Amino acid sequence: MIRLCRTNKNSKELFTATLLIALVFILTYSACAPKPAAFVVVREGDFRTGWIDLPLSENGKEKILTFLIKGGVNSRGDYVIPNAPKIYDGLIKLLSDPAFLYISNFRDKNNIDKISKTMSKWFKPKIIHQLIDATKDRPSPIPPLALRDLQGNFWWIFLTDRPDNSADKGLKITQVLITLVPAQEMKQYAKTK
Amino acid sequence: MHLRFLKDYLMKVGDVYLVSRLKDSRLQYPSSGGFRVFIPDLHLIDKEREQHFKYSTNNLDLLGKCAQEFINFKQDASRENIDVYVYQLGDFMDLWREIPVSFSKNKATDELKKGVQKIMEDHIDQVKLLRDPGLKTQFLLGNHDFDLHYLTDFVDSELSYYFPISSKGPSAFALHGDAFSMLERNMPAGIKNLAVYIVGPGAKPDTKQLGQFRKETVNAYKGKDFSGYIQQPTPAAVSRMMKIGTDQADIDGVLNGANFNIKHMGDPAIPACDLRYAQEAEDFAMLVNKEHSWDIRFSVIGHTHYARIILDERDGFFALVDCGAWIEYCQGSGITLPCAQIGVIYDNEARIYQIASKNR
Repeated sequence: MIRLCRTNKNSKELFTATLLIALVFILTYSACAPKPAAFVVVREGDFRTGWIDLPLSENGKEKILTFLIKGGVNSRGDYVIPNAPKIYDGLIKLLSDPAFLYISNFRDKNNIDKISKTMSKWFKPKIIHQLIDATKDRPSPIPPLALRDLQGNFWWIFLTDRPDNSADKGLKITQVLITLVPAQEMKQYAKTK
Repeated sequence: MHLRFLKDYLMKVGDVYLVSRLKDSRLQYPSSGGFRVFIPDLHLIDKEREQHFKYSTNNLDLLGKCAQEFINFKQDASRENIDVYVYQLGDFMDLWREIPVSFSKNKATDELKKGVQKIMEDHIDQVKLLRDPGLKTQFLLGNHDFDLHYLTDFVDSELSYYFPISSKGPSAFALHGDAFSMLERNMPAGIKNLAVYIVGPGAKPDTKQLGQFRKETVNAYKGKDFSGYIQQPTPAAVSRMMKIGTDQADIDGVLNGANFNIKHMGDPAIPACDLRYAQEAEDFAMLVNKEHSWDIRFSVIGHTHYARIILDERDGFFALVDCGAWIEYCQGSGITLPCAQIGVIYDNEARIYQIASKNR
C-alpha cells in the first residue's frame, strides 16, 4: 500500500481500490441491515375517498372520478388530473362488473405478490398487503390488497372477503379506497434541471 | 358465569369434555378480574402445505364456531359490565412449516409476507372470526410464529401478558411457553437471563433482544422438519376427560364438584415429563414477584400440546394451566380425540375444556 502511494498511477489505483472497498462495504451493509417493512397508509380525510362498495354504483364511479380529477384532494375545486376519466375508464368498468371482482383477476396466478396482466394497465407490479388505516379501530381481519397506480400518485386499496361460492376464484373483492401516497416523488424535476 | 359460558355458548359448538378444573381462592383471581378465555396452539398452514405434514389444525369448523360463540359471549357479558378477554396463546400460524426458507432469516422477507397471506386466505372463516374487531383477541407470539411481529397487522402481539390489572398487582401471567425451555436447569445462565428479561414485565424488548431470543429459539429446533409431529408423537395422556352432558343436573354435578384431574408437584406417581415447565414457571414467577413486589399465583401457557393443570402446594401455592392445542391428539378416560382445547379463568377457577364434534 505504501509503495502504491508513490506514483500518480499508483495513487489512481489506490483511489479506485479504496472506492471499490467503500462501495462493497456500503452495499454489504445496506443489504444486511434490517429493512423496514413495506406498508401503505390511509391518508387524512381530505386525501382519501373513503370506502366505496364494489361493484361500483353510479354514485361510486362519480366519487372516484371526482377524487382523481381533483388530484386526490377532496376540498379542491380544480382540475389537477383532467384526463383521469380517460385513464381509468377501463378499470372503472372492471370494478363495476361483479364477475371480475375476485382476487384471482387482480393478481398473478403464480405469485400472489404481483398483479395480473389485466391490472398492469393501471398499476405497478408489486402488491402490498400491509396497511395502516388509523381510521379504523383494528387492522382488517384479512389484509387488503394495495396497488399503486402507474403514475405513482395513488394507492388503491381493495378489501377482500370470503367468496359466495366455492368457485376457484379466490376471495371476493368487496370495497375500494383510494388515497394519496405519503409523499410525492416528482422525479421529472430532476430530469429538467 | 362459568356455567353460562359452558351451557349457553360452548356447548352450542359441540360436545364438551372437562379435562381439568382447579377452584381455589389462593389463585387470587376474583371475579372483578374479568373472564378470560385462552385458545392455545393452532399451527395454521396453507392448504397446499398441509399435504406435507402428518398433522394440521384439528376441527377447523369447531374453531370457527368457538370464535363466533366467544364474540357472542363477550357482547352479552359486556351488557352486564363483565369484561371478557380472549387470548391466542401463540403458534397461531406455523411459519416454520409454511415457509421453512424463512427459518434462518431474521427479517420480514417477501416469503414471510406471502406465507402469512396464503394462510389467512386459506382459513378466511377462522381468521376473520379470531381477528374480529368485536373479539379483540390478544395474540401471543409463539416459537413457530415469532416472525409475525414484523408485520403491521400483528403489531399488538406480545411475548407475555400479566393480569388482572389491580392495585395489588397481577396474580397471573400468560405466555406461549417456549421460553421455559430456556429456563430449564441445564441451560447456560446467559440464555436464562435473556429469557427472563424477554418475557418479564420490566420493559418491552428492543429489536436486538428480540433478535437474540429468536436466534436461541431457532437454534433449539434446527434440523427438525416437523413432518411427523411437532410436540406429541403419540396422543398426549391427559389421564382423565369427563364428557359434560346436556342435562342440567349432570352439568351441575360435574362442575360443582371437587377439583378435577390436577397433577400435584411432588407426587411420586406422576412422571417428571407430565410436570414439564411447572418448576420453570414457578421459578420465573418468584423472580418476577421479587422484582416487582407482586404475588403471582399461576401461569397460563400453550406450546406443549399437553392440556393439564399442575399444582404446587409444597411450599406456598403455584399453578400452571397448560391449555393444550388444536393439533395432534389427546387421550384420557379411554377416549382418544383430536386436540381442540381451550382454557378459561374466572372467579378463582381455572378450567380446561376439550371440544369435539357433536355425537361423534
